[in-house]
Amino acid sequence: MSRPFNADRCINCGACMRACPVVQEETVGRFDGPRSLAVDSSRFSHEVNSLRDNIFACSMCWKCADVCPSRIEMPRAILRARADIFDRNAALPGHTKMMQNIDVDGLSVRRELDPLSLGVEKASVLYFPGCIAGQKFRNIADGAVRTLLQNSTVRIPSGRVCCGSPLEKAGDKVRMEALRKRNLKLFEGRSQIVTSCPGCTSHINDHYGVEALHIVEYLVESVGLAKLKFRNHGVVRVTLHEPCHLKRTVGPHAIDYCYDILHSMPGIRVLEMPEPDRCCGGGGGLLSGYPDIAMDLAKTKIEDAKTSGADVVLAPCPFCVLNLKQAGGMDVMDLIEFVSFRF
Amino acid sequence: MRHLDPVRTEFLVIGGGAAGMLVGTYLSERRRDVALVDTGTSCTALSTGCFNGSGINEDMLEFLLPRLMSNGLSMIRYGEQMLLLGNAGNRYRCRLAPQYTAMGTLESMQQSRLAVVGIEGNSEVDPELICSLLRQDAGLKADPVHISNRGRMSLNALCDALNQVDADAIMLPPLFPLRDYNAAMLELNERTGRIVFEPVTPLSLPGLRLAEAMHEMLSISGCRVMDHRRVTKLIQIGGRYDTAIVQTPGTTQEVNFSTLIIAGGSAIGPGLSISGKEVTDPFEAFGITRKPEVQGVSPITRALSSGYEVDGRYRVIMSNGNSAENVFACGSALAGISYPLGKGLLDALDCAWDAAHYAEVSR
Amino acid sequence: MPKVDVLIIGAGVTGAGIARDLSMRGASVLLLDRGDFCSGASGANHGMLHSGARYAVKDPDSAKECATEANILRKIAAPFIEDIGGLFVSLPEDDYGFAEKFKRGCSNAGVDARELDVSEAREMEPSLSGDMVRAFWVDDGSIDPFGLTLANIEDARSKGVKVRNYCEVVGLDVKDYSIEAVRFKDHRSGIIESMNPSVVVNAAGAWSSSIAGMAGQKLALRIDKGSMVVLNGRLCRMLVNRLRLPADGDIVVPNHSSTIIGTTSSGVTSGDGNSPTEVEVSYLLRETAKVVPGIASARAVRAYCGVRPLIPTGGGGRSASRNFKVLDHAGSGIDNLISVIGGKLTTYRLMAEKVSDLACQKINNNNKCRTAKETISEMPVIDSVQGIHDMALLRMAKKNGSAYQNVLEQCVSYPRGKEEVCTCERVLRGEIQYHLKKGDARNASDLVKRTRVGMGYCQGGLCMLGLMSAAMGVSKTAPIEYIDSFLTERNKGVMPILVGEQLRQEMFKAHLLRGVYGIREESR
Repeated sequence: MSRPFNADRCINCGACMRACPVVQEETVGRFDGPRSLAVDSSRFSHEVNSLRDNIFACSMCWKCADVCPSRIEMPRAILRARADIFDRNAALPGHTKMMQNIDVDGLSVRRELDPLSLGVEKASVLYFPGCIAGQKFRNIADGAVRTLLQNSTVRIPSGRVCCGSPLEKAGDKVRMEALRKRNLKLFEGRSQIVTSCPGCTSHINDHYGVEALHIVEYLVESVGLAKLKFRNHGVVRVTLHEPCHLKRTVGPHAIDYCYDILHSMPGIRVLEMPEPDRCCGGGGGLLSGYPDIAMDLAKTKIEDAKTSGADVVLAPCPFCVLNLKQAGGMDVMDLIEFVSFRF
Repeated sequence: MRHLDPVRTEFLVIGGGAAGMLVGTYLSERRRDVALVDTGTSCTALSTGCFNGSGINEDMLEFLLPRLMSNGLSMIRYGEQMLLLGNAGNRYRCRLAPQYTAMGTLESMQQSRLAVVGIEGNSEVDPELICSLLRQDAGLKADPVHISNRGRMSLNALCDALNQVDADAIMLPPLFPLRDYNAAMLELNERTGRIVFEPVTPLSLPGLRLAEAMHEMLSISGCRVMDHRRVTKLIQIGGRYDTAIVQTPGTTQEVNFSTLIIAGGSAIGPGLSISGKEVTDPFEAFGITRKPEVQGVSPITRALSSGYEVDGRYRVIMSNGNSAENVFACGSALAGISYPLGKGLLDALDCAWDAAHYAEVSR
Repeated sequence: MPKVDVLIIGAGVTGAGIARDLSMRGASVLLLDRGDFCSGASGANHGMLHSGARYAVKDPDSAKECATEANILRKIAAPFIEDIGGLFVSLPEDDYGFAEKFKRGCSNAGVDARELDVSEAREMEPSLSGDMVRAFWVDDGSIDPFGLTLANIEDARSKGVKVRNYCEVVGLDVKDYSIEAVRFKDHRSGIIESMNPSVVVNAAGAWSSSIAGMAGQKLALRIDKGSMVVLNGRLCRMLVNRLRLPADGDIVVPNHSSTIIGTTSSGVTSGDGNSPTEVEVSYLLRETAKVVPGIASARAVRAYCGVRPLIPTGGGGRSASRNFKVLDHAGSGIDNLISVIGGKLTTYRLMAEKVSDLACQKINNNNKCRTAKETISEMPVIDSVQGIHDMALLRMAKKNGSAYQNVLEQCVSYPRGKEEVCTCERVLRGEIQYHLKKGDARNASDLVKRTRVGMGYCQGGLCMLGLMSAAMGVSKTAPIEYIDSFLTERNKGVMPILVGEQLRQEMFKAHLLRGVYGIREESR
């Protein structure tokens, strides 16, 4: 039981604290920051009761682990500490609400629409929209299906529940496991699981033992850019928000794929915003746990996006879309939904 | 572990610090096919952002400085007389430093009144510490000033606060990211009518700015940047290295190359490994030596002077003592760059420049 | 010449305990130490609150004393004790029969030791080796010797005792079979002062022989060095002891933010000039990793050694008794000199009681000892404070006990007092300034003892600048001297463990402190 997640390697350089978007936005008075939570405080493990709630204010963007010269996996240490705290009954009010939704019908949001379902036997793709694309922004799921149907057969099994990622972020391993069992039954068969949300993608890959691809991965690797027949529907200037979970937990290649797709589309001008991979604040349970911090980060992100001069911010992640839309000030759209109108 | 399609490139650069970025930019601008793999950590980002070193390579600077400037970072050549101040109250002589870091010569400083400003919540500048040491050691008239602050301070608010300060020169903590730096510092200087400057601050924005500016330079050059990935293995065929395995937590990918340039940095970062007291090669292929080879020094000095050894053309010496045909190395990954201490970035950049040239003509 | 009832030489935990005890009986006392408080064994031990189990087989008297005294300390010095319990664990290579001897010994000595199933033991302490053969639970704990000593001193001061550090005894003037004057040099002023004591107590630990020698007395002492290694983080929840005859590398003690492994035993000739060796460090790491495997991949941040002043009866090293002895020099020609040697941190209060009894006898003071019943220091009530992290407050309470409010006051009422100087250990600027203002701390090492600044994994990197800054305006010492002395001191502890992550850390610090900031540092 040596120090977990390489925390022993810290040399106190402070790179993680400078890179952390929540620390940058809120200062250490509000959020202790990655080094404090993952490295310093955990050394007093017998006094962990005094870890403040703000351990839940980490957006799980993984930027700290990226810039760390010692390659310390701070987010994993933080998730483990969250699970410990959760076991001692200290859930945040926003998270409690989310768990209530799960207990009612298995989604992390309130169910407002009938569930999407498409039953095609032996389809090449099993599309898993996730809670946001499937419910809150059904248009995202519609766009994904439209796009997939261009080149593949698609099935969407009914009886889907939340993938479980938000529960992991809240520290609730019990519910997370229950959801996994329910979804796993639906994942039988030879179809390739394709998701709209990078949170779903990496969670399924890490915890379900089956392979899931984010839709941009599927489109570029399995379908191939050449088969995506885009048409020029007029010039649109776009800027890409690079979601943390897509870049850092699914993989940086997926971001390359986003640009590949955009560059292959006639009439699309891609403008870069400063720090395109800076966290929008939507992840890590921030949206439900600390909505004000999520909003602060989203507003800063929109300001950055505006300086690019683009007409619309595209984000290949429904959580990012949700959070950025709440900030207001610029058009925000899911990347694939946008793409689906350009065939 | 997903296998992505292999990538084929002419030059592969390992490491996205100052040395790697210089090599990548140079070769890409010469229309060569270059890929650069970088983990996302950058010890350049921890540096002072100032260029100090044992020699000055004018060709390299002629190449680098305009490119930094066009990406928002102006470097100024300071004469021997100009003193920079550090955020530990130390005085720093420097060949080349970013604009807005110098206050003046020692004489001019001794005739001015300096205000050292600390901003609440920002621990980069400790006004009492700096003023006390400058007064004691350098005979400067320096006084601490504290600005209280809630959340982010606007430029207007900062200007107003500084206008209340009675001094000829004002030292501020590093506050502005690269994109705002020049404009903000210019505005502060103009609106307050004083010399407003930053101290030399390691582990802070100045190093980040340099890393950012060089990264912009690299992206524009056409280099294929594969960031947030690590080279975990090098594969050779018949004594000649030709493939690197590049990994992320969930994916693995082969990169086939004709020439490899290792610029992964020292043992402080992920570039070189430490096993017990020794610095080792993470690829287990090349020799690690020490420069200077001094007896009876502390393990710290030994480790700092350890790194790859290269021949006269910057080709890496392998474990068997021969030069690698197509593998070059530069930057702080080399023995003799990190020690003696305080040499700064110039040495790393100089050898990167030379290595890039040798690598280019080797094909 | 000024007079005093009792002059105590040596402000380790024993000297401090004696000073407090005597003050409670109304005697006037002066306590001196040539260096800072806790510079001897009290400042370089394993931090164990012994249940006595370790001595149950070979040294049952010592075991009994420990068991009783540990319970007393739990009541009177609670803030400085981590009551986490301990395990005695054997491995396949250990003498199987020892467990029975252990059980019997503990039972005879009145030491509570309960055998556990190895699976029970592992549930209590998941870090234990899978090769465990037998396991016993005992009432061990860990204790902070600095906090304990300083609390004794502060309590003594509140009752009128004068306590002065950096005052070195340079001569004991004997006349008519009695010490008539104690001459000591105040290292702060350089002036040599004299005091006329009714009684002199020699509580100088490893240096007791040389003090006794100043009065022409021979004092036989066995000086034994023990080395320990500090590992980053708490690698186990409880103390872990090896269930075998006491040997090197037997013990693992979680303490504050670290785990201390130890110890060794080797005869040395002097209390001065000793340091832990690389050989000792490797041995300790290997041996303790057998019971707590995580130690093999842990990060060692520093090594230190202390010197035990053992009574010279019995065998050497491990087989020397851990008993203590109170020597009345009246039997050998000096009526008013008392020496105390041997003993353990855990039994200091009892040692102090016995010495104080004898001293009071000599000055016709009939008051009885009350130290077993009266609290030295209490855990304060900790309320949230705006601008200070809760954990910093809890740490402050554990280091300062009853003095917490005074320390907090300095943090809250003075500018920048709430700022964190050391992020590893959450030490505030105000804490540093409080201790500087008190006047006892003369250099960075003294501050480290009192605040734990620089005790984290980086062993004093950037916090050194914060330390310099906090010292400004409060201390007359030039700030750069704080850094110089601190870094020199740290070097001693870091040299033997300069491998792996700590080597990387030191390389980074060298770049920063020496390369960029140009701060001088002794290096070899």
